[in-house]
Amino acid sequence: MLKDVAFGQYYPVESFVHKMDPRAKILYLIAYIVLIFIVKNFYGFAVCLALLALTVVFARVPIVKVLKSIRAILFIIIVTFLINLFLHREEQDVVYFSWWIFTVTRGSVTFATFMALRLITLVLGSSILTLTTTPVALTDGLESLLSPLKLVKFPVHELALIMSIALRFIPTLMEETERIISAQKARGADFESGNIFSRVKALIPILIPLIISAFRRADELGDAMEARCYTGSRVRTKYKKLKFSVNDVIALFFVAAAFAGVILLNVYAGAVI
Amino acid sequence: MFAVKLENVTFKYEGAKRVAVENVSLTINEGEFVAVIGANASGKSTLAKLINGLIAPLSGKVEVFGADTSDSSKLFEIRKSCGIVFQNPDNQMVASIVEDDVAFGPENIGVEREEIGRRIDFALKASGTEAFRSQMASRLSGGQKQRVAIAGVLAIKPKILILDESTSMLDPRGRREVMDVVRSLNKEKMTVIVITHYMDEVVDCDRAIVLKSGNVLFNGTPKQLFQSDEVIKKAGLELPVPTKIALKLKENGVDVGLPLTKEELEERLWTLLQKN
Ligand SMILES: Nc1ncnc2c1ncn2[C@@H]1O[C@H](COP(=O)(O)OP(=O)(O)OP(=O)(O)O)[C@@H](O)[C@H]1O
Ligand SMILES: [Mg+2]
Repeated sequence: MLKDVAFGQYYPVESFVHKMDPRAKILYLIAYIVLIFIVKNFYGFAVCLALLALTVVFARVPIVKVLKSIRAILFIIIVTFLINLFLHREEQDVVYFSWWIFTVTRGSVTFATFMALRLITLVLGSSILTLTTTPVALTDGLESLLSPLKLVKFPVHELALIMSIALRFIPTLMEETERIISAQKARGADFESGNIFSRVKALIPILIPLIISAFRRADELGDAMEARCYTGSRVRTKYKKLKFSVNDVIALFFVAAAFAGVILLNVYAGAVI
Repeated sequence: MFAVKLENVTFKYEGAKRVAVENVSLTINEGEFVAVIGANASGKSTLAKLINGLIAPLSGKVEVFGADTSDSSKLFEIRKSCGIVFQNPDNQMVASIVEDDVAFGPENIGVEREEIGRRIDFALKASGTEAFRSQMASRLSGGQKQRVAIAGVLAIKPKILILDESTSMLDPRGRREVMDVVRSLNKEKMTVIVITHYMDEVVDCDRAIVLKSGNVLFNGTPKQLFQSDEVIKKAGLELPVPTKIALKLKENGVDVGLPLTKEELEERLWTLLQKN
């Protein structure tokens, strides 16, 4: 169950998007996020969704894999939707429903829907990046994009390695968590009942063994890395060379078109938010 | 020149009450297949780390192809020529994808890009893991992961390969897969040191070294080891099942000698049956 968390789960197929340079993908994702935050009406949103859909098609990743990523933040989406729905206020609004401090208005319905859509499309877009980019490519891309920071002695290489190791250990620690949970359940631990405090307290017998084992793993990993001649970035070379390709240029065209479309629609189609 | 040479080596972990390795002297020849065997806490892993220079001896000297591990300027060369595969395959991989993980070692020693590609090809082939090249390591079985870990070490092109209980977390099939790879590497002139507590992994080694509480209790051929009841008892080891059966048979007046493998026992029994 925990293993299904889509984040960090690379989906290995050959596709247009998989072949793109990780730096381009990171930059386009940032552009896309900017886009979904400047968009002001549902027409513009349709443009963002079209860009997203196009990317999914060209990534050759099953749509369920992409949609699964929403599960991780479904709770947050619902809570923000409800808060916005009941508490958002606008001047001169049509009131649909009102009770105590809660009011639902035409404005609040639009606003809540819009914000929820933003969150959902944000997560979907980010998950396409992790689904189509290997963790090493992702961290190599970040390392390269952040490399100017080396000038101010920022440990870019180390940061990238830490990220790569963290991504590498997500499935391992997830598996371990599941194992510990079943072991504690077999000993009669109860994680499902009681109030919030007793539930949080029930997590301690999971967290303690998990932390202890993580330290042991870190210790062994350190030995293994040293035994494999790791000394820092002194003489290090890189196997994978990052290279922009024609795919990145084609994708840039689509991103730019979406930007132009959204800005034009913002200006000419009115704002609902 | 010896591949590995230890001279009166003693080592004690910081804060530990007793020494982990005590006054150990031994040599290992190039191309040899050596098994190091002993009960828990007998100092086997400590010995492996001493050879690879992860730890330096408190007193005495460890040399790998003549280079002293206490000389920090030689450490890089020593680690290049001597790779270790550890017990838990999950805790020795740095990258999620097999190919990226195998590239880690060559990248560390500054190998050129094209050459890294060739080394990955070679290492994956030698460990029989070509098929997993672009897969997530977390999706593989224990035996497959451990073979990928071996590939990660092979890509550095070491002359000595140490396996520190690298098969102990695997099922019988995974163990066989890994040992087959190791044996074929040894045939290609690789010096192999297998640390184990399975007696049957000792059977087809050139030499067995038995450790007990940090001391060398025995250093000789597997055959000699299996004949020495005293050593086996003292070190708390267990004979392979076929050997045990043969000893039981001998107690009951049926002498089939001292077979180490199932096949050997079958053959001896067969000839005995035919004679009678
Ligand atoms: N990091 C450490 N710090 C302190 N003491 C240690 C450390 N590692 C090992 N020891 C101690 O050193 C001794 C030898 O340990 P070592 O790990 O070499 O044994 P081993 O033969 O590999 O055992 P096992 O079969 O359990 O792997 C033991 O008494 C152990 O408790
Ligand atoms: Mg050990």
